[in-house]
Amino acid sequence: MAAVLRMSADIIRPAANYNDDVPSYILHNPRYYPHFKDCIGAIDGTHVKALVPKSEQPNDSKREGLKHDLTKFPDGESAGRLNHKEIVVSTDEMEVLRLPLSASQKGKLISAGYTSIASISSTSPSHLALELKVSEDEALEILKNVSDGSRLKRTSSSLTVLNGAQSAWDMLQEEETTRVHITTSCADLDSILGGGISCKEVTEIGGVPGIGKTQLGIQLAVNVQIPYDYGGVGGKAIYIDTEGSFMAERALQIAEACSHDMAEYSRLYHKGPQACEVKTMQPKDFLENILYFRVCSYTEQIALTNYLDEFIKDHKDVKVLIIDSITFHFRQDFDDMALRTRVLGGIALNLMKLARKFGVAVVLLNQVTTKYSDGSFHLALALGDSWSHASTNRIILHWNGDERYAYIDKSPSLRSASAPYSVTPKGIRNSSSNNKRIKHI
Amino acid sequence: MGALNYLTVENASIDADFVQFCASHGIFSVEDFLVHDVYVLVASAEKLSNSDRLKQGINQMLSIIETWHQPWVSGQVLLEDREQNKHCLSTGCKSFDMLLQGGLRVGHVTEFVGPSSSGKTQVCFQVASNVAIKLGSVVFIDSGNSFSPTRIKQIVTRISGSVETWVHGILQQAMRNIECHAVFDVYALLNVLQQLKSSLESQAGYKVRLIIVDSVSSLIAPILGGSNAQGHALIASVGYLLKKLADRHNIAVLVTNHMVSGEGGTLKPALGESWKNIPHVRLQFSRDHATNIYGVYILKHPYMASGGSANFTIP
Repeated sequence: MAAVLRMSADIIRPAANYNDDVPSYILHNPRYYPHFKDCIGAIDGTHVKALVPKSEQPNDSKREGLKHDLTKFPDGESAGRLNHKEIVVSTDEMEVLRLPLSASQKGKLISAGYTSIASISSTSPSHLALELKVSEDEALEILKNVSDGSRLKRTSSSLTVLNGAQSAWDMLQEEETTRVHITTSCADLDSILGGGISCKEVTEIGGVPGIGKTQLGIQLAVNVQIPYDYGGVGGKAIYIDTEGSFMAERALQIAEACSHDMAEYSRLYHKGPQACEVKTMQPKDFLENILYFRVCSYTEQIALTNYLDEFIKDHKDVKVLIIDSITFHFRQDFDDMALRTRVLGGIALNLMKLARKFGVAVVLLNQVTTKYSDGSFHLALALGDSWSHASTNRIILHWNGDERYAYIDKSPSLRSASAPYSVTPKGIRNSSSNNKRIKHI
Repeated sequence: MGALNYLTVENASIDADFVQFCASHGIFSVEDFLVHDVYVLVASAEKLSNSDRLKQGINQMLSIIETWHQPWVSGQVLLEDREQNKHCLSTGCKSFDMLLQGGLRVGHVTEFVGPSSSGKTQVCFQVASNVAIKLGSVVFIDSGNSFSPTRIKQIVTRISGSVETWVHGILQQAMRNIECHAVFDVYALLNVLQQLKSSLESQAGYKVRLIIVDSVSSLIAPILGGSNAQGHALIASVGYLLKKLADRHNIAVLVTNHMVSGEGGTLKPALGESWKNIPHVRLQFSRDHATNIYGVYILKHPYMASGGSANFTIP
């Protein structure tokens, strides 16, 4: 299986005339043609591998609208409705502006004179359809959006705490009782992280090539599966590989070491009647629980991030999502920097939402670049300043002499500290040098 | 506002004839009515048979419109309001309070700008804890999963002293006063603010003293720019809601923003020109990595000179 994985890039190819003709349903629909004539289909949640030959990659701004819509409107329906009309904002409360409708729908509502939610909800769908010159279905959809919004307003009036909020006290109780950390197998690193990589947060790990980012990623994918009885979280892992650096044999090696460690632990700590109930995990069980995606372009990356919401809903026991690396497809050949910032911002928010909603630890592996500031060069993570707020915690891996160190660069709750670690045949382990120490900065 | 027919339901003098009369002048909505010259309308109404009814309708429209705009207030009223209602909320950090001449002012939108890891979220936690212990409830709107209850607990324990038994009661009370919302797109933010506004208007007992939005830039950046003008419209919407909440309900609003690179390699605040004028007070944060001292610098303030700065540490 591992061998097939490696050869997949060569042996699995789409059929020769996969995307030659314009699909008939686009050709004959005046709404889609000629805007979508190069489209090969609609993204409805299935993983579609879409590769555009380099010569045809877009370098004009007309396609920009489509890319923008990929992040905001994953359903094919509203993706086509781009509107370049200016929206005149009056000085009064433009409540319509705040509804999650597409820009063209809002434009139509405003030009027909509907600027407040109350005026829309008092019309009937057929009347609305006539006024806006849209189909009845669309008018019904608009009214549904409006009524959802106004329903929220009515129900909240009876509560002292707003809908969807939690008080800090409740959150504290929750945090203290549930186990939310994934160990990294290196005791020093775990101690500066407060137990390990925390679920419900997005952690970004960056470093120079060769420092061990992929190794750490694979280690986490294995460690997340440690059952609850052994001190782990007992979940599955999703590994999204953009560079092709995932090695199934290395994962097997790490899994074997982990399984061996678990057997040792069980022998020492699980005695008597407990011993029979605790199950042992075989190395290949570990590999079965790592769900692997290979991504070859940034469009695929965006599509996959949008799709993950559904995927994790179906696979509720996923506890860690590793993206290795998030930068690769965004660094080269991206002409429009403003677009890159917007797209990355959208991806960041999506990942934050996934982390919060499903309690998944999202780990992003990033590359480094040099930055010149305050008169000196220093290493900083790639993707720029605007990406820096996309993660909750940030860890930078670097060399110090011939030792590998991990340093916490940004965290809302952890102190700045650095700890040494090493990469061994068994995976990530404590550094074995005699004069190591944890530095609190 | 909106279509004229909507008004016919409530007002007797704005009947079908009136609507038809307006339609004959090309007036279909209240906005059209406002734009049209009233004298011309009255003059043409004179010529028709039911001119009295029509003129009554016009007057009714004008009086309805009168009720919709903000009333004129005199400077005296504003001054009294400022002295009685718009106090300063102490941030819990002495040098910060001195720089701002008392702290965060109620009724103002204050913005913390700074590069990554320069202490913005930490100071937000500090202010939230301080207000929650002493003054009232706090709404924390978090877009980056950075709200950490354990850190808040540490800060509250530090502020309220170290007497063990006494602290626990205060801790629970203070943490109950902080509500945290996780929002991941700008529409959710608008929803939360709208809900907050309607709860404040309808319930007398519900009082909020501080709203923190961390960070507003990560919510708006994905939709700003490109060929769509929607991003700018949404910035204006968010800014308007925040300012209205701050002024009407005597709340201090705090937002955080990050920085992007500008000309010549220097950093400038994100979100560009359209956001620049929305916050009343803009403070820039910086951090000296070597000594771990944080600095704050005034970029913009309504009545203090910009350029003032202060240093502080975060224990």
